[in-house]
Amino acid sequence: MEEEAFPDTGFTGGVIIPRALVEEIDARPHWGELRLGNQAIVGASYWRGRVAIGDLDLPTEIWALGDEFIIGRKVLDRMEVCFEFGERVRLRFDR
Amino acid sequence: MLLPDSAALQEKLMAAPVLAEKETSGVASPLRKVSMPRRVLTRRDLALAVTAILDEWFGSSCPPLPLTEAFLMRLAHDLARGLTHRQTFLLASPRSEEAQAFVAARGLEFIPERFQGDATVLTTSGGLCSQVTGVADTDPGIEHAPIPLRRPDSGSDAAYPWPFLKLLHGGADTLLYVGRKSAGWTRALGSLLEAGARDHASLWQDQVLLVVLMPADTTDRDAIRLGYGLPGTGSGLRFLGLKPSLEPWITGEEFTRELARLWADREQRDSPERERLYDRLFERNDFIWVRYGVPLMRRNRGRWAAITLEGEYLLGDSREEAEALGDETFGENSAYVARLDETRGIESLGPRSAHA
Repeated sequence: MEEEAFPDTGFTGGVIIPRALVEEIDARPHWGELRLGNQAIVGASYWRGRVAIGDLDLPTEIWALGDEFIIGRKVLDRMEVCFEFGERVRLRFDR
Repeated sequence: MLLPDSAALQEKLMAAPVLAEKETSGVASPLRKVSMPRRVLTRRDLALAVTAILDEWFGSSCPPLPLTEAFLMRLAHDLARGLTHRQTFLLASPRSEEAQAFVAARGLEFIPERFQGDATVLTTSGGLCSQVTGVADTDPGIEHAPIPLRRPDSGSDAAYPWPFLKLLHGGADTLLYVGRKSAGWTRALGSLLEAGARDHASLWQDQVLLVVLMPADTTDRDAIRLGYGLPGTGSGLRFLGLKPSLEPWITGEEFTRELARLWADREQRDSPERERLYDRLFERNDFIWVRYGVPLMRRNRGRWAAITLEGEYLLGDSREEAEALGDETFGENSAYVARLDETRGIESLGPRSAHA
């Protein structure tokens, strides 16, 4: 499966995966809450897992919500992301 | 369950049951009980009160429209009795003579005055204190509007029932709205009230919001819907039928067992049944937060807590630590884990997520 993930500096958590994927995950989730952009709070499933991007491999929560892959601050804060004029994105990782 | 690999936490986990035993022998321990919880009515309190009134006063049917205010007066009175042991005074002035005579015949004492709403229950505690304020909305309202009104997604007040907006400005600890519209309109009215409560959340940020929607054209109790909103939780106003509202709070054991059952069936993992299961835990946790979390916040701001429905709690320095301590001591999902500040430690999403 090849999907795009969006870095979202407005998301304070780890990673969000599309809700439709929960059918593929056999591990029982934890229940948690997320505060949406309109300040409403929703209950959602999450798992404790690991995210690996390049040299980065760190434990984080993985939430099932909406229909996009989103990378939040708990991951982004361990990276340097450089957008180069819409042509290239360069990543550097915190060691 | 994944446990953080901190040696300090492991030590605390090993120590927790022993410390809990110490509590019973009167020695100070990390397992404590909230000493001054806030008195908060539950959805079940509302459902039980509504059921009792219908049984006792209306022969298990719904009140005729002219007696709606009589129903409201009794409901406000009964709910206030669940909030305070002090002497209460019911202020009301029913518009219909039928309602006045009905209430008088049943011995419900009231002072014939209006204060903030159609029925208000006051106590005296160094001054007048408003416990419950209620309005009865029997006006057909926008149901019969000559032009179709848009759903209020734009935030316009045009379509919100005026008595509801007026109620949100009331000063009582508990705000009560009783709406009587046609059965066909009742569900749509529920959506309108949810939107109105959300758009005006700042007006009731410290008050409990209760709603009873009783169709005016049917005596079927299954058509009754109850709305329940807890202050400052961000969860807004949520509706359920009368029967499911009578269910007690879900226990951690029940939640864990049901989730395991649903998860075992791939097709149930994202089903309405699973949604309903989450909603039950969500509401229980909001209640724990309002009843115990907010009082705890004053002394332990910034720390993490695992709090049970009985008000027992354990403190930790991270979500993982409080969750692990809570699971170990109280059982999985039996405690609500939150950071003791206004955010409750809930992760936020950016503006693009508003419709997620």
